[in-house]
Amino acid sequence: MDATQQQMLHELMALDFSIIDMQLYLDTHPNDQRAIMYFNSLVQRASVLRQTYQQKYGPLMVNTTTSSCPWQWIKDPWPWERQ
Amino acid sequence: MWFYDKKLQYPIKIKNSNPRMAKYIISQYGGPDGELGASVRYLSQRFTMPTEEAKSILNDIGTEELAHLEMVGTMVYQLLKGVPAKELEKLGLGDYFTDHGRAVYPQSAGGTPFSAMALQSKGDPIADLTEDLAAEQKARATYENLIRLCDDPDIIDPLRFLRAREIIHFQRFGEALRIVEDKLSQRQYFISPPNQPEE
Amino acid sequence: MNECMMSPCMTDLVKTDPKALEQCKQQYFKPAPITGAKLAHAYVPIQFLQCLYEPSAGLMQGTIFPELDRPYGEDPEYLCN
Repeated sequence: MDATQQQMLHELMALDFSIIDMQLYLDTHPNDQRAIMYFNSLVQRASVLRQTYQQKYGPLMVNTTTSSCPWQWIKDPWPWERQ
Repeated sequence: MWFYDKKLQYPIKIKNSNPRMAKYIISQYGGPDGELGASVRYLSQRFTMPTEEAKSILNDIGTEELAHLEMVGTMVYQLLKGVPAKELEKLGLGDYFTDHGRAVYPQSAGGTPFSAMALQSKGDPIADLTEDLAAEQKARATYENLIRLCDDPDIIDPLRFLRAREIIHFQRFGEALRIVEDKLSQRQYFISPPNQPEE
Repeated sequence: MNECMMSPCMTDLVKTDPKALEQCKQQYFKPAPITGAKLAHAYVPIQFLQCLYEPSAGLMQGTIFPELDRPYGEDPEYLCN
């Protein structure tokens, strides 16, 4: 994995992580409008970055992206491998 | 239902193998206070929770624990990779190697295979959420023990992250308990009517 | 509370200034008070959103909430071993 891909993946990891942490906060604070607005902005940013990443480097979630041939989902590296 | 996101929640980049630490870290994979137990516990308890907040927090933290299970498995895999059998034996992994080679198998540091005996799903929301608070503290304490046992910063880094998540989860379960208690104490009826047979 | 609360102050939640973050971290020691407590019940104070780490700082710390960021070694209650 080259440095550019690492960098983009790291940025997406950070956004997705923030989304989860905010999601858990919202589960117990469902009426916090500020939190919802921030959550929504994170989701939008992550969605754009995810699409860019997937177009360049292949699918991160199998059922939301179309594939070229051969089937891209199986491609290495898998997350548990030393990159 | 679940979908898989093909990336770790937090990056794990371990440069040097370390069978000694693998033997200890496996406890957070299949041990009594590990991530497998946590996710099964929360995903099982969610069915009988009484409020939207409690159902969702159990669902969502249970799901996050699966991501942590993946991280711990990744660590063990990377720590054992490429280590010759005789060296594994010298570092106390002869028994493990015999039955599992360098594979990731859910067991405790002491060798006990994963058991649901370490968890409970009681159906009583206060009992369940209190158990969840305890579970998060046990996990935090275990990560701290692992950090104390470790010198390699590449390994300490993800352990540190996982420890921090336990503190957040504790806070969320605490909030869920407050919400559930408030809701239950307003009710006119009980979860199980006192002195009456169950339906 | 059924209405969605709108904060009177809509400034950006994400902070990078250490002094501002230190301010937020104080909620750990001074959370919202617990009222109506009963014997034989356990209570955790409710956390409220004050400010946030930016995403990459949050990932590094393990949370986006500065008041819940308690690194190992900082709090004596977690150092009994």
